[in-house]
Amino acid sequence: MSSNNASDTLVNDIRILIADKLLLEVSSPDEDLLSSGVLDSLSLIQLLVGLEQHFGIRIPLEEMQIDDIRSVRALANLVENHKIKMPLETAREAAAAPQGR
Amino acid sequence: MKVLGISGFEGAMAFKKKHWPGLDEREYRISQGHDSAAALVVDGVPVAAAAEERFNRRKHSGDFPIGAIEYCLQHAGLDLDDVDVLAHSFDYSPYRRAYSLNPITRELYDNVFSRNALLALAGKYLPGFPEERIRQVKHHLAHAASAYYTSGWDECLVMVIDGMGEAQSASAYLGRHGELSSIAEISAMDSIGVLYSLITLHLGFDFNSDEYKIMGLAPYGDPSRFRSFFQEAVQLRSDGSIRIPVLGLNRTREERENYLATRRCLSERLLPARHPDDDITDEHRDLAAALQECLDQTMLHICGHFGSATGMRRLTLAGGVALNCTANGHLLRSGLFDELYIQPAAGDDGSALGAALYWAGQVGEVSNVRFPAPFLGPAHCIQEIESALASFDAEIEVRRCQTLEESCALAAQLIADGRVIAWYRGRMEFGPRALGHRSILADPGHPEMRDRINAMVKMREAFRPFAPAVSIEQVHRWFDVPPGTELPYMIATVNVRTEFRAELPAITHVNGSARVQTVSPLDNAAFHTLLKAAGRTTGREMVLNTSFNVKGQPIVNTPREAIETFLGTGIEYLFLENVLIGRRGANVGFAENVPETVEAFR
Repeated sequence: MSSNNASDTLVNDIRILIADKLLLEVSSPDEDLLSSGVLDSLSLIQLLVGLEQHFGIRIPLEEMQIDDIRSVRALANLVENHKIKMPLETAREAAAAPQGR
Repeated sequence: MKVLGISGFEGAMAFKKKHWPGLDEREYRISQGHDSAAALVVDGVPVAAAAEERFNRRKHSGDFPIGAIEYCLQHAGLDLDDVDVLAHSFDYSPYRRAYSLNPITRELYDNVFSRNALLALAGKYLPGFPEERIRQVKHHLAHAASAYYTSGWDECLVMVIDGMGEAQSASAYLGRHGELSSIAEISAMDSIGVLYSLITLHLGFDFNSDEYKIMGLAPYGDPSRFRSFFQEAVQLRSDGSIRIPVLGLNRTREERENYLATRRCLSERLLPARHPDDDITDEHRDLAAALQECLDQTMLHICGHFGSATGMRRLTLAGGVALNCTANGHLLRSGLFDELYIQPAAGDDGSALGAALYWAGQVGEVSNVRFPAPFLGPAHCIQEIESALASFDAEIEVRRCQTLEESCALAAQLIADGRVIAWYRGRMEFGPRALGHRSILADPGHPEMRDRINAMVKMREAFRPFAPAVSIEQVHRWFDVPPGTELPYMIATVNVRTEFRAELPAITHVNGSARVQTVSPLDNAAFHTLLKAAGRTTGREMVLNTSFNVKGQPIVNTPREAIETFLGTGIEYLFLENVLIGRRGANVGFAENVPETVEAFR
């Protein structure tokens, strides 16, 4: 289930984050980030880590769908949904846990 | 518990060759999983470790380390069935989705990086080994474990800095009470290691291989010409992280695979790419100097920040960038930390040891004592030596010494006479440096020695300096360090005392530094005996120590390889344990040059 009402502020924050992390100016919130090929494995991981740090959320890659990252608006919705799923304090606790698999 | 750690990705370069045919051979090294190795940890103690290149004789090989595994098991008298855990030092599984964005990266993941690919290799090389005993460890966590669990410290900052792990280029961990906790990570898109390697490639050398040569070239240059480029290119941020936007210029799959846009930028902003056969000019030297200066500052920035943030005064390092002796030397002298320990197999061979130690740590078995000089490789018995000698009977002359002391006295006299000798003894070193068991030795006081060994013995670039091995008792006499300073791994530069620089031309770099190895009787006894003997013949308990190999070849492993390399080079004498070998009929034959008895020169 996903909401589709991400705020303009959130959309703008994500555009700034993409410009900072990926050196990429996105022309519109609906521009397809995948068809242009600018997102690849490493840049996607960096973007998701950036979203997690900036918004204090956790976005497990395994739960991610391709359409979740297709545009800035889709990313804004992804962030919105995970803000609900995992509040900041929980995310911090998760991040502070000892590492290892 | 018996844990076998492994590193490397067998299929990585083959995958690249399949999908990007026709690249320059050097560009295929822009790939993951070189320097495969195996390491065996029994009840928390490293008992055997070796890089696969020493067995398959292909330098930096990333092939499945079956030769190294067989050696480790044979050394410990174990069967494969006895191994409780086989731990690989990469774990890409959290990133499967990210690799599925693109058909080629999906295939790379499936065929090379995935657990299924690892299981397929295990099935091929280790048939019957239970899949449930095969584990994966995040790459930087494996490096961190290799450093923390051999540091001998209960609490310290652990920094891992390399080209890249699965998606990171630097990671900060806090090691405390036997556990490692992640503090911060820097993305692989901002990798100082990748930038250093790309400029290594741009300067006509090999990516993921020749970075140490650029480090050696740097002191000949002036960093000021290109300083402003690096100040702009590598942004040091207040949170301890770094940003390297020039690495983010690559937009297409093609560009990303080989950093094409970044390399274009280097050509436009710095200088054209140098072909390996071209002369090295002042511009190249200046670029190396500016790059090294940038790395030195970046390491101080990252390590210094996390040292302050955690309050830790002890730092341990691993990852390929931690093999940069110059940057390590700056850290050592910076005052940012009271103590610095760099795990000597800091490159990816050492991540095999780290993967094993990580799992041993998970069950609380690691004793965490300071790593002695890492003689964890194979030794070869006198029967094997005699057999090798017999095969080369027509080409060599042999004299058998009765004791280590006799061998050392003879070797020390040859060194004092200006001879270049190979010294092969005991178990092979783990990690890239020869520390006195597979070494070429000479007198550091001979002015022409550096050029002679570079040209005639090692057949390598003339600009490269050599390192000194010095007794722990004399390190402070020749070098600008306090008495008793232990630098047993030849992994950090220090300054040669000004008054001795002219006296030590073969090991003093143009900037007055040297990559010192200190030798202690506690963990490198035979080599220490040799240095003491050299003290009696040369007045210095010091030798020039370089690895026993020629350009492009891995360090020798077996006695046969030692004799072959000896015969194929300008090395004048070879000691295989206590057997002295010379060339039959050579200009530097036994009769003229080797004293009849040890007593003759005592």
